[in-house]
Amino acid sequence: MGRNRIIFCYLMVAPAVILVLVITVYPMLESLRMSFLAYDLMRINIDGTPFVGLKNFDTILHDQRFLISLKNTFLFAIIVVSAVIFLGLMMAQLLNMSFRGRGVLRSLILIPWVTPPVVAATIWVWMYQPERSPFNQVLRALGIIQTNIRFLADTTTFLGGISIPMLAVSSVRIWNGLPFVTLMILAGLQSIPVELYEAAEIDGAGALARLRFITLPSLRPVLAILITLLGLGAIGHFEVNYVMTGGGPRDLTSILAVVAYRQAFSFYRFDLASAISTVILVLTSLIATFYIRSRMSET
Amino acid sequence: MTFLARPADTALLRQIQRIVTNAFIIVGTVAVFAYVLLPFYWMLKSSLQTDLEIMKIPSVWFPTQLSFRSYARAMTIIPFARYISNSLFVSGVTTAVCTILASMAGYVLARHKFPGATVLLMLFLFTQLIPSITRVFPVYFMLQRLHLLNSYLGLTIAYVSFSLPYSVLMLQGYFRGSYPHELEEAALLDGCTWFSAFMRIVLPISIPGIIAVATYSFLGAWNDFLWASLLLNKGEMKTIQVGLRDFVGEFGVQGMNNFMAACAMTTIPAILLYGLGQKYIVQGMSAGAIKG
Amino acid sequence: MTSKTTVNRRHFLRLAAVGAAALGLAACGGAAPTATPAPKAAGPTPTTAPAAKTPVNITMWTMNYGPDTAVWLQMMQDIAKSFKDKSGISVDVQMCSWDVCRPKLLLINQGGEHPDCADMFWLWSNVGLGRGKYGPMPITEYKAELFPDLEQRFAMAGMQDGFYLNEFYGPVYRGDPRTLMYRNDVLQAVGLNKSPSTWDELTEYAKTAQKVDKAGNVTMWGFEFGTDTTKPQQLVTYYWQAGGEFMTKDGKTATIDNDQMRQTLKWMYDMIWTHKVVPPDFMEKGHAAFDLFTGQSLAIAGQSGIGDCNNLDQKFKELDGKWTWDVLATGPKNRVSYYGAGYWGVIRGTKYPYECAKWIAYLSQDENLIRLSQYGGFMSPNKAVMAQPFWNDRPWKKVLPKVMEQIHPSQHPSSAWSAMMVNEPGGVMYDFYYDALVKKVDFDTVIKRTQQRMQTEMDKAAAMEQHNLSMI
Repeated sequence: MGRNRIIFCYLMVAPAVILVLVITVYPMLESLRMSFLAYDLMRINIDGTPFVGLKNFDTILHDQRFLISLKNTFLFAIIVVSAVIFLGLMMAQLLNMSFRGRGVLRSLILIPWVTPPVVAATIWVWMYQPERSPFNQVLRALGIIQTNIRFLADTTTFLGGISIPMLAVSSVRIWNGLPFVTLMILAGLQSIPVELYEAAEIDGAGALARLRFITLPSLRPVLAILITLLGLGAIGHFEVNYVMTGGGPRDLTSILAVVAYRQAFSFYRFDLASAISTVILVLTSLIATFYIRSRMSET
Repeated sequence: MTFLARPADTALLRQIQRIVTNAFIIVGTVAVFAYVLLPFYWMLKSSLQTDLEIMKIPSVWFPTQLSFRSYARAMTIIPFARYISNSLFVSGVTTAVCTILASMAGYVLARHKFPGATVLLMLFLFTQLIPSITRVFPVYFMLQRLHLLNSYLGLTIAYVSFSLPYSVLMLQGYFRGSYPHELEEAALLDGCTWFSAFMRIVLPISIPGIIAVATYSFLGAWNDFLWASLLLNKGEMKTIQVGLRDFVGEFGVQGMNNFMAACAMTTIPAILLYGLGQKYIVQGMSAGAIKG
Repeated sequence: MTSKTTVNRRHFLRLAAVGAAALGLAACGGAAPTATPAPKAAGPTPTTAPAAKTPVNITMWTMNYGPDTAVWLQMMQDIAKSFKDKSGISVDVQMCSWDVCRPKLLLINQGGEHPDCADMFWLWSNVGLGRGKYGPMPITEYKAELFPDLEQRFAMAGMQDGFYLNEFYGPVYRGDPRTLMYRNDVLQAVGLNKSPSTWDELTEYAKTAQKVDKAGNVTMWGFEFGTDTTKPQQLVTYYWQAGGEFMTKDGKTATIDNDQMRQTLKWMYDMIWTHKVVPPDFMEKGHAAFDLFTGQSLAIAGQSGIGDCNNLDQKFKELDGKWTWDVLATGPKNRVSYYGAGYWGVIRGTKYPYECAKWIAYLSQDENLIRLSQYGGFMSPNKAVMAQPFWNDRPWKKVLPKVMEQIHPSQHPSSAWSAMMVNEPGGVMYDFYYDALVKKVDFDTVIKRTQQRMQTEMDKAAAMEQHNLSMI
């Protein structure tokens, strides 16, 4: 490669790399470092911040709340990712068909994306208040339920940890992510050659068969990217759970990032908060490495 | 099923199938769109009601009187116009800088194999995964040491770096697949430098991809609350997300209708903007996502 | 082709220049003064200002009070302007909303960015956290000069939040007692014509007023422990009313393992699960008792604040005359009200402690306090404020003097108290009440566990205080 060309490449890529290293990589390392120190603001001038090895991790791994939040983080990830992809697939198929007003619908579907998560969470909390909830009103009018559903407070669990509050909070996270997923899948759909569908229809394949044998396989790369990105996002998610329930009731909606934030800003235990962040980091690294390897092998 | 062997009946069956399928599709679509739009509707209708009506149990679905007074009040209770222009400024600069840097990096990573390219690509892939929550304290103190707290520059730098990884990857995928190599090579043969080839040929073709990245970084900056509240909350410099919290007094939201009006005024312009640009966004994401 | 090349590189450079300029502008924007430019220093020579030749600028943060944030800020800035005319010291007052203030205070204690002085709370914990290097700064040395008549102008019972370890940090300017609020029309409809005056009457009234529909949905709840969204704050009051205290006067020993606590917990437990007059979700994050009250599904709120009354007056005029504010029902021993407070104080690291103290003294003058409290709607320990007609023009305001007869300050002698009162799962007090009243854990277990947790936290704080004292 010509020397000029190489210099050109480095110059072009340098600003982005520098910014990312400084604002993203350095804090991550700093946070990693803090997870091996004692950093309790209430004791800091007596004890300082000495190296304590794995003590913080030992503490959190013995904390019931942490373990529950670990389980919940995964449950949320599974529920949210599968639901949003399922709905996104449905919506993308719809928005791919040609009909009048398609542009309008495509614009409307963007609404959850442009609504700030904190605003959205506040409104949904409002709508999930048992006495006031329009959902309860409708369900009662239809005779499906008699007593109001306590969306954010019902503590019955099923299937080992899923609860109504978990589903309610998930519904908001799904709501927030739907536009992005729909658009990504829509983009993917548009690259599938129409001829494939025409040929299939001539062969007599029904809608479901077309989906199974043409659409889904063609969408595999997009779906792979989506599932990975969404999964990563789900593991580190913070805002919706925090604003809506703060992790309650009885820690049924508690997730890793919420527990970490609380340790830092409510209890001043930056050592424990950093340890939890490190756990988040490790989990996401595993997924990311897997993802990177598969992408590298493709190129 | 021998009695359905006659062609006429098969056609009828298929018609029924189609009607049922269409019915499911319509019901499903209505349900999903109701789900998507309900909170927005709720926000709008609450902004038009009095506080008493908002609080009523059971909920009042349709405002009994349309009062836009809450919109006027919302704009005076907090310096709304100022906050919105702060947000526009920060998000706009973030978008511009992020788009420029991401196109530069994405372009060379896509079209040129230079030593270290793979490592850098992996760096961007990897940095996508770090959840914001883990960086809060270190970033805060770093910016403080650099005296960049409560400055637009500090917040912008943070926002740009958050959006960069995904933007670089998206544009890298986009550049790789969206046009043939021959175009550049032809330009080089004509005597263009790499820079001018980039500017003259690559960028103009890449508008959809750039719009997709611009959308992503703009929204990331516009919607953020966590970072803005910690890094830039001095008086009139606040962005709108932090400014909206001015409504929350010690005992909760004072004046729910005014608060809802402010939320509505925050989201409606973005909706209009993206409604207009959705065609390009889909195009851009399509090329970037698939070929990536 | 070369000319075209040059043109295009110029294009690129121009683009880069625009980007750089934008960032430069951003940097400048950050450093530039805020919208209201301070007027040029003019006017009469200051009488007691220090002999500094250069004009002094100090910054202050305030939270928002009253219906309009902008109006509140403007009032503070007007007072700052007249202060500047008198003393030559200019004060830049900025808004810091309640939401954002807690993490900010924390960061201040860690050496984070801070103003010269601020509207503050939780003095005792913040002093401990600041380790003597950051956070609240005592102004005891200026008290005699700048606050000579503090004891005459203020009811000192309400001023404890501004003092700690024999140091004076600033005047408590707003006090926030909590007391009983109920729907008099709802109670009258079931034959109850006076305020409930004992815990037993609370139970009886709540049961009578409660309404349930055919399907089992409650359409009118009888009782809520309080409207405060910081849940532990409203639950501790009942223990005080049973004659209990959470710790000894020296702040060294936790004292919750006793009969009074068991008695209190039992009463509260019965209200929720035996008589079923309290919504079982009362401790969850999204649950707001005041919203139930304004939604007309709550008969009695065990405690509510002045902010609630102002809100009802201004935003819910249709409910005028239908609600009553009165002294709390008397518990087994007394009817003390929870009393929270905020003060104005100076922050370590400022270059102008004297000037800040002077500004705070000016702010706390009677006329200014009267203006601020009238708009902000908060009560003040300042006697002149409470004598104003403004504080006697509504039936609920007339109740205040009686309420103030029996108050219990929210702060405690241990600087660990604020950390223990954190309104999140994991907070000592939150877990205590949640386990006992929601998870229905056996009282003895919960009390012993919490006593231990409290003691650990208090020992930690005591050790830090010792350390701080040794450093002063």
